[in-house]
Amino acid sequence: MDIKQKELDFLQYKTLVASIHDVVFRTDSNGNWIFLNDSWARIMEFDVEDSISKPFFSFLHPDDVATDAALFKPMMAGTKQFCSHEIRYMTKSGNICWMKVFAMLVKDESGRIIGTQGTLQDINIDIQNREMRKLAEIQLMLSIKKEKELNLLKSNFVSLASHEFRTPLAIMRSSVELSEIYINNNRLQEPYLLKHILTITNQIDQLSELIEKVLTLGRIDSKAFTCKKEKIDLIGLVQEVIYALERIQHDERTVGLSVRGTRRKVMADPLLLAHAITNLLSNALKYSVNNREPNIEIVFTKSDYSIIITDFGIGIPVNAENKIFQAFYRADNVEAIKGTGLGTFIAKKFILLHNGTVSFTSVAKKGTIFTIHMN
Amino acid sequence: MALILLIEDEQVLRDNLKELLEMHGYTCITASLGLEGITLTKNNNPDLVLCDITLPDFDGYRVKIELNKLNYNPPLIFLTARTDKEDYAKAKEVGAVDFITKPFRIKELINRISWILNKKS
Repeated sequence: MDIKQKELDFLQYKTLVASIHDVVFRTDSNGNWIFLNDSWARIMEFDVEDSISKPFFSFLHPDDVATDAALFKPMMAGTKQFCSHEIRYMTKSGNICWMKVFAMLVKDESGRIIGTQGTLQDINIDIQNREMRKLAEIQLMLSIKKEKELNLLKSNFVSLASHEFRTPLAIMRSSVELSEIYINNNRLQEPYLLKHILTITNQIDQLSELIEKVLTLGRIDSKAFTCKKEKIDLIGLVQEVIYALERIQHDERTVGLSVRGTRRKVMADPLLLAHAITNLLSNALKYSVNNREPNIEIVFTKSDYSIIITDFGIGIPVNAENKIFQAFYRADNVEAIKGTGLGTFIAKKFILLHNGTVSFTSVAKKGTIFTIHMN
Repeated sequence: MALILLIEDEQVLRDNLKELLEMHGYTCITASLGLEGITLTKNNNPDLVLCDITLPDFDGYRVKIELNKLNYNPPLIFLTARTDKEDYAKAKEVGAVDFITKPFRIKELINRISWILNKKS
């Protein structure tokens, strides 16, 4: 081959290397760049001439230097012929640039290792897509998990609601049928007739309460509630709640009320706050039958106030602590006690509408303390 | 006169059903818990058991399973507010003769009881 032909071939080769989209490189045995094509400047924003003679380590992300050194050293020792990996470089403007590195050993005619050569492929888009895919997969899995949990809660609610609706209906029907028999047999003076009317009235009350809770839930879902704060007598409001609940208790238990701090009026929505306290206090009564009476303490401080509801009942199991404010959730230890799993959920929603908080501490079989805190 | 054991935790419903069953000529004994129901079955050998599924101590299926184990097999009807297909299947699986959903008419219940008792005799 004549010299002219060789020069022509070299020119073609140079043009080919320059036109390759990836960075084509050569390093010496110390890892200093000795050749870089023009893609280096395009991707990394550094001037090719300025970069030559500088070690490739100095262009790496600081956290990846050790990783790359661990791959480069065995090549220089001759134990590895090539390496391929993904690593972060840093562009001139300080951005991370993910590169897929393919490097192989370069030896001289005597077989001595004189450096490496290979390509750096810009894989930022691949990495971004991969990250986005990973993120999307995580989000999808989370939403599937959430959906499954919600479906389970809803199906629990359907079973629960079915039970809660059907039982009072069965009682009412049996009372109606007995009353019909008394009437058909001209036993109008039968004292049991009155008993059945009372039974039906009680069951209607229970059903109304259940329907009210389910409707409240629906209104919360549709964001129909707004908090209309006004100056209220908190102690008077709590006393009214206590009185209303004491009247409908089957046992003779009452609820003690104590007040700490300087009494004053507070800003709150009386309907929502009374509803929340009613739900928590009726739970305190319901889950502590045959135990000490529950009590409420109101604590006024200069800037805020708390309502602390304490019962000495069955407590909340540890495995239920994170779920107690979820709609429809009922702990394992309350299966035999009537309920919808909506009371604490509604209470929390109404307290949140006041920008307040509600929290609890509980010990199984000892009791529970719910604290409403308002700023 | 056939003896019926009614296992139902809801007191008002228990009292009402007992009265209605007695008006229709049956003798009725009652239990409010599953365990109590098993003991009453062992001690009184009823002709038929009416059993709620949701009970405070353990569910109605377990009542039937325990009775099966003890070889006390009076026909058992579940009276329940549960309406899931799974519940119906489970009731069949444990060997209940019928599954009646609350609320029910007493006439319907009496018809089923007399049919089962006639079949038994």
